[in-house]
Amino acid sequence: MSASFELNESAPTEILEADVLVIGGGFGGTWAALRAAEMNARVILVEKAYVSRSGASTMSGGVTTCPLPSDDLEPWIEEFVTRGDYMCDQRWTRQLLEGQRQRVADLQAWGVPISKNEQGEIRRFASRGMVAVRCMQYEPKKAMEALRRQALDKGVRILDRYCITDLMTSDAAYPTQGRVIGAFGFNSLTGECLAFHAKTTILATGQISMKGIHHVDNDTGDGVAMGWRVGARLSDLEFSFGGTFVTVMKRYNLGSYNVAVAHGARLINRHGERFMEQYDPVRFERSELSRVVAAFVKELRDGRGPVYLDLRHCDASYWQDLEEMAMTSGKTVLLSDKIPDPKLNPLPIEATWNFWSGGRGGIDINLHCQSSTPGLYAAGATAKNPATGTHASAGAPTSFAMNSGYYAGEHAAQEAFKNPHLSIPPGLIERLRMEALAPLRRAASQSTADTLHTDLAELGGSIIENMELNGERLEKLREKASHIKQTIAQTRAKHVHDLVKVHEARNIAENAWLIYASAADRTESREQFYRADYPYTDDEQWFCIHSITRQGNGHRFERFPIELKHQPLSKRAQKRKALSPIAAIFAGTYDSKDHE
Amino acid sequence: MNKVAPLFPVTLDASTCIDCGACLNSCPTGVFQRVTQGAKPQAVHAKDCHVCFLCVPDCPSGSIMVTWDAPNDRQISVYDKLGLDLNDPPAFKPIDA
Repeated sequence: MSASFELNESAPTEILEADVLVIGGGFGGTWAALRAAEMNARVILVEKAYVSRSGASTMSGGVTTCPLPSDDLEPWIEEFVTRGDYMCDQRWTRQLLEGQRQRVADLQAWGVPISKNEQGEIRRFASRGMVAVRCMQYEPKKAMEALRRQALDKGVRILDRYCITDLMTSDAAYPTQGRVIGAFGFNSLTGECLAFHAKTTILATGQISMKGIHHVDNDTGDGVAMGWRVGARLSDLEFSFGGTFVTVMKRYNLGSYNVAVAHGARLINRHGERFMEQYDPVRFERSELSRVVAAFVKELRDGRGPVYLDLRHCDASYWQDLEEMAMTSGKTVLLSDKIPDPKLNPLPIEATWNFWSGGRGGIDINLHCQSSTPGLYAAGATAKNPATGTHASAGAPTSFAMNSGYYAGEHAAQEAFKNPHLSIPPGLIERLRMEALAPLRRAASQSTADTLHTDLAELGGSIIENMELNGERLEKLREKASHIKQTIAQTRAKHVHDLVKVHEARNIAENAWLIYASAADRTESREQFYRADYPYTDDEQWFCIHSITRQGNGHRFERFPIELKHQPLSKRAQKRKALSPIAAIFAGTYDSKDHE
Repeated sequence: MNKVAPLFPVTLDASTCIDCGACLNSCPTGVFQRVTQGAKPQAVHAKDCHVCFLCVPDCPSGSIMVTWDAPNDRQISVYDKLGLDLNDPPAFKPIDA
């Protein structure tokens, strides 16, 4: 059974004109659209689902960085820079935190529910992984609803349920030597095709997020794949490996791991031992997620699992916020009768480890959110976050999404005012339309949209396998990703809903291939990136931004050194070649003093 | 009472649905659609439900049920892989007051 609207394949493709086209309606994209409209640009915001009910922003944990006007930002900047091992652009770090003061003020002014204390002030808590930096808890669904209203009020034209398949280029070439001049897509209910002709285009489709066989692939990396196809430079994709604690938390609807541990929750093994004590005696469970996940795996490997989340230590405000904030799912399953009382009993919890970039890798952007391809900008987790280095603390990805969106919208509008519309090359729309709809016209295939997604979800294997990457395994994974890509090119979509899924599968497979290729090229381990065959951190070779760019039918890697002498904070000592944190945890030799 | 596990994570009860169309917007993966123009929405693509619960509070008539209990081939716990039983937790020491 499926929706049975007839797709009129002979209807001409309508062309919509805009100064700024924004693709993706989460925090990054909607804030970009809002800001560009405030600058008086004609803005179209196109979203695969429905702005305020889609993607990672609405479903995020409701934690964001919270600098207030009374805070001295210097210690915050220093902590971001040093915890991220100086692998950032410090101008971006400052821009992020200065901008975030205003974004927090905007959320307050729009009436977004934010957790407050008895005096009515924002109740702030230490961000996971940090000591000085503070974050706040708010309701992400309400924040997205407010952003949608604001964007519409400022004249943004929102088109929900349009699946963008590719960017348009001024020379009809992929990769392009010219400019990005908009994008092409179809309505995900009717199949109706639209071309969006724009002076500047912002990609803000979120991250690639596939949490292995434990979880569905709900963030499909469309923006990074489209950026790759036009030849935009992508950076640090191997840092897309990441972990989190989700299943049990989601199942019991106890909010995010970050919030729970900020309020006192502990991780314990089957013997009741708080195992993070041996790795981080200051921050414990609030340490870098990669280290907590590695420690979780070590407990399982050494036979001390299951691991439990002990919420008995949480303060009263944790339970009060759970009730009051109600998060995204209302109170429908909150503290249901299915489980033992979590106030009295530790709950089993599990970690995941797969693609979960959160902006640690993505389209390379400058201070204005411009990519290396003229006319193309990126915001949110589609972009490589230049502000936070190797460590994004709790709240940093959402604050980066909001602010990169703001700055992308501002600069894309400014550039659009300076540039005339470049014309659409003859035949380009027809070609993109043919490619977009091709899966509907294919003969019945053995593979289906669903089997493709199952194959992709299984690609990384379980957390135990997926944390043991090496050259041989990466080669096999690349081959598998290539094979799935070939299968996708022959897979039939039975209807328009399937067509979206086939295009998503193509983008996931492309992201996977790029991440595995980037990981194979990086011959070291560093913070959350770990290779069993190169377990040492190698500053001499790899203290750099590592990029991959499409070149013809191939690709080229580049390394851009991080020049600390030009940065305000420059006193980083070169690291001696030593086991990376994950490598040391697995080897049983981790000493917290070596990895501060 | 024997409880049969549901086939899909989401169900929409047509008998109580007031046809407001809110679910058509609320689902990120497009589970709900009208099969023909003018027909009430149905959970046509129920297998694509990500169990995000966004639709449940959005439905004014309470006609949508979402559950974790439906089978999902793509969600296998590491504890299942390792054969660890979660139903028999150890007796943890009480915490200090």
